[in-house]
Amino acid sequence: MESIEELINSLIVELRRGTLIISVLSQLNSPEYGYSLVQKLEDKNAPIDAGTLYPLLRRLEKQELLTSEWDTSESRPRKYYLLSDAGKMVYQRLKDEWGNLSNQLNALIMEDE
Amino acid sequence: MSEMNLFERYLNAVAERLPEKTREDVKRELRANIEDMLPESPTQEDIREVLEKLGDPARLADEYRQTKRYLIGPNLYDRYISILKLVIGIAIIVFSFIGVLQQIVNPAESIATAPVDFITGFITSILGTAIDGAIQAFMWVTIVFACLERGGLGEGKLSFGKKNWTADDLLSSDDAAKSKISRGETVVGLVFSIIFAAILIFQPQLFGWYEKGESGIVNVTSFFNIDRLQAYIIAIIVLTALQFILSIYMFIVMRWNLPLAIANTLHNIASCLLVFFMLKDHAIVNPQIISRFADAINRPLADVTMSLSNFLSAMVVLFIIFYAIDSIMGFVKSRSIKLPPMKSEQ
Repeated sequence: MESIEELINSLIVELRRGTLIISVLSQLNSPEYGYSLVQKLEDKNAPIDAGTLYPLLRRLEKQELLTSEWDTSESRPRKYYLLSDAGKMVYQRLKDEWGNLSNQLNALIMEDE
Repeated sequence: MSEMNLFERYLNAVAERLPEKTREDVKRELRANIEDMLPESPTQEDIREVLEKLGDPARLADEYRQTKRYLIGPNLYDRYISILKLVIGIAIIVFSFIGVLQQIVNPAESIATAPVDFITGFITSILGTAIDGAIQAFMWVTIVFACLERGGLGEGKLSFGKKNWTADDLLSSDDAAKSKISRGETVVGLVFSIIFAAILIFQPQLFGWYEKGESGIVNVTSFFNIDRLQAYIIAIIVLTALQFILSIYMFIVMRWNLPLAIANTLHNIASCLLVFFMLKDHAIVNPQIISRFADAINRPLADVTMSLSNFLSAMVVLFIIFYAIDSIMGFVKSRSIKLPPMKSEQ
């Protein structure tokens, strides 16, 4: 039943997509550049595809949730991202929402068991 | 060197798909990120691995761009296909008809001396104009839909300026029936715009006085003075295009609303002005057709000129009445004006 497997995979991707932003915002209280953030999330067992993360960072910057700065003092120039004030506010709201959502869902799932 | 080459090629493949404005910055950042992912003095294999992890540069560029990746979205797609079929069908019929006319008026071969060549010429000409019509139809419908999609119609904003749907938007079945734009109404609109475009824009000389000349050849005297007609051609093209867009919009929303009634009225006023100026312009009528006509009915030229002038004035009046009724009906059907109930209504 490969098609069921495929369906499950696509549903999981869909489910994770909404939570990506929360995981990214949660790690940006201190400045990070693209690859350091990939590693940080990997170390914390919340891996995210580099090809998804890099464009996402730019998008969040465009939405003014992140600020960015090029650091050219080292041999390799890197673009650092940091939560903006608006980003902090949005992160707080999303965190609350996630709390509610997981409580609701847990309650629903518990019924079954 | 060749591994660096691979890296550069990847960066370029992403960058070339991005808007000029962000290209350099994205490239610079992506370069730094990929270099970070690579070990010191990377081998070709290392580079391959990292690039393949990042995936198809086209997909990555799409992630960066985040713009619409389609010409016509799922909300409009079904209607796009049904209008495409309809318009291509109409265009094939109208253009084939023009192909037939062209062959009658101006055959490449004479039917008397070379009947086989005449028939082949006939068929090729009709096929040619029919294919031309189908291609034009495909192109214009697609352009109109792509514009409507970009205008926001695809996201469900079916009528301009309306923000949120409320229960008040549900029409009573009575109102719904009255404001409905019938398929027939739209088809008529499309047929007229296509005939107009096909004849006035592409083949104005076919609109004229047909008579049988020597040896079966049909002589046609154009009604219009073609050179003079060219002065109006831009206005004709613009108005025909607007009519076409309006018809397609009607087909999509399927009922009258206030903005549509206003657009329809503006289009009608512009059409009236054009018809008025064209038919009042005596130079637009080919002088030869007047003398032909005078000969044919055996009346003095001055009489015919006079009658023609009266006839054209009457046409202008008829057009104005027709457009006025059409405009008012648009408002009535959009329920912006309430008419007192008629006796025949139930």
